[in-house]
Amino acid sequence: MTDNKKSLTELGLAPLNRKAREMERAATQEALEEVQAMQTIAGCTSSFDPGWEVDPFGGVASLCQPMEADLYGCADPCWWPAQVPDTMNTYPHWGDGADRAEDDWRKLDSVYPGGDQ
Amino acid sequence: MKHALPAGLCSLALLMPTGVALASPGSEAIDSYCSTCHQADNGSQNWSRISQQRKTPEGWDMTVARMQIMHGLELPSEARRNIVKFLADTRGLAPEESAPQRELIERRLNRIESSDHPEMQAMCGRCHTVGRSELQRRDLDEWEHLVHFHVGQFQTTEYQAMARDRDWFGIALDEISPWLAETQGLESDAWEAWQQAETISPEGDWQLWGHWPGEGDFYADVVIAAAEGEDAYALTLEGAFTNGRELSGEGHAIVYTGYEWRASLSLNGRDFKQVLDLSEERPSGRIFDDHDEALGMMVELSPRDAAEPGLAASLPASLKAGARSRLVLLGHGLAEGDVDLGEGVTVRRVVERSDSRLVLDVEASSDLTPGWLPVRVGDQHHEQLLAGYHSVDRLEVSPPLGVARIGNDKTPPVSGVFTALGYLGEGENAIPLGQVPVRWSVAPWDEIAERDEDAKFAGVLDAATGIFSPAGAGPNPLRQYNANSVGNLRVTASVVGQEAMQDEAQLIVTVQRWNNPPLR
Repeated sequence: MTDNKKSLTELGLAPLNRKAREMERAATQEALEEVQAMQTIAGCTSSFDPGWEVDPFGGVASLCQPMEADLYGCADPCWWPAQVPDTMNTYPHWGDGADRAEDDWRKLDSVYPGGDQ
Repeated sequence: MKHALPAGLCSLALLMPTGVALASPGSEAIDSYCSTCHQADNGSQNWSRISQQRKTPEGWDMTVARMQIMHGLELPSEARRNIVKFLADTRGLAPEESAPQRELIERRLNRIESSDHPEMQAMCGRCHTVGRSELQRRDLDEWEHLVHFHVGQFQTTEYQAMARDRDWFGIALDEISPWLAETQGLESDAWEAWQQAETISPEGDWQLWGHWPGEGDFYADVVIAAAEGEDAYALTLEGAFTNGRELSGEGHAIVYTGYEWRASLSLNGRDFKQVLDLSEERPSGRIFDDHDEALGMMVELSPRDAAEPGLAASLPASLKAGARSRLVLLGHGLAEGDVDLGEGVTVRRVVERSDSRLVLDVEASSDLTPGWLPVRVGDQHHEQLLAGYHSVDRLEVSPPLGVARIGNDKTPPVSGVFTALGYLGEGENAIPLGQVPVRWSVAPWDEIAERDEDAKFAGVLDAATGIFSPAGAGPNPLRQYNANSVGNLRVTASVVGQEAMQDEAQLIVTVQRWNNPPLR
């Protein structure tokens, strides 16, 4: 979120996808920022751009869906490192053998506990 | 476990402070596997970047795992266990220090966190729990190292929302680190005192009780015996649910830091983990499925040969007027004397009776006076242990906001587990009735969830138990955009026979996560 208080329409931006339309639905920019500053459930990310577990509106309709379509777009830039193994630094080989997450998501494994535990 | 237990349980009273530096498998493993990078100060068991921190057993295990994952450390499982044991014992947290974060240690995640510092949510709680930070003790330079590590390892730390819109790095170094060093410094009076406290073994006979979601209230006799290994124990459980069904199990445990009980249990054939804080006279904690941590039960233990007689618990906590039911009273000194539950309750049958337990079939009359029912067993009595009611005045579903996750074999689904507590009366003087019989239903949370048919796709709520089983992971070809089977749902409980008495909660059914350390 920027500090710009204008709505997307006022900025000459037309919402193209569902997330953008939901953003436009927010009553005011202040309301959106208020929602963004809210805490979420313990252990879920509270960074709602667009959010991993919950979207800026406290629901799930504005999340990237299906998340597999953009999963490596989250893993590569380390976007949700507590939820999605980051392939930038920590788990560079996490997605190996699962080239297209939308088809290969079943191959993706959990990363903890590490070692041979 | 220390100082608070009855003398009869002190079978292994050791006066050795936990922090004394003796060579152990753990310290030898650190010398072997860690000291290549972590410089050892010969003879005093000090290693750079290790000895300047204190953490929980889970915190130390996550640190060792990080060394394996990020730095290529290779070490056998036994060495990892020994290192964690040694560090948790010698550089752990005192009971007072872990007390504010027992929920996190017990994997109770369906709650909103708070912090004494207004920036902690944006600084730390943005990715992981604030509690994860609050279960560590470091001096200023070590807190600063932690900030630098995050920026180097996870660059999003600086450009996610709630980071790019402020001077994250400056706040982290100039505000948060000094505050953490002040409030969570390496040295503390609590830790100093705990290291000097007398160590007591948990060996002996205990009584345990709790509520198993979907199964009911239960009680069990627990026998804890020493096992091979440092602070290792074996345990057996024999008991029953209040509906009469048997409960049996066994397990093994290790006690860290003198009070942090960590066990693996098999109960009626199902595997669980158990976390207990043994520092209290009546230890408490949680038994949970570590593949589905929402499925868990809060439990309490009481030593069976407790010095103080008395009534400790009633299962259930209330009786409905006109109903015949099983009632279990737990405590000590219950073997002898008359049983009197007041004018409105008749004891029809004594099913089982011992010093620590009384299992009764009782009938609550249809005209009993609502409120606390005085409980008398011989010389023992309790005026606020058991309540009677005709109708429920207030219903409270918890958690008010829960998160379930879709899953598969690699990332097991996380259930939604709800309970409904009844109350008699309103306000501060309301009398808790415990879990009252309800029917559960699920509906879309709002019009968007209704449009997207979330209630149809996200999973199934068991109308009898309040347990929500989420749908499978992966894109769902039946949904628009092949969306995942996520949902935003309204979970409602209504009291059986009193359908207008309802409460509701929000259930977010969301996507899986692949990074699931014990402290989220």
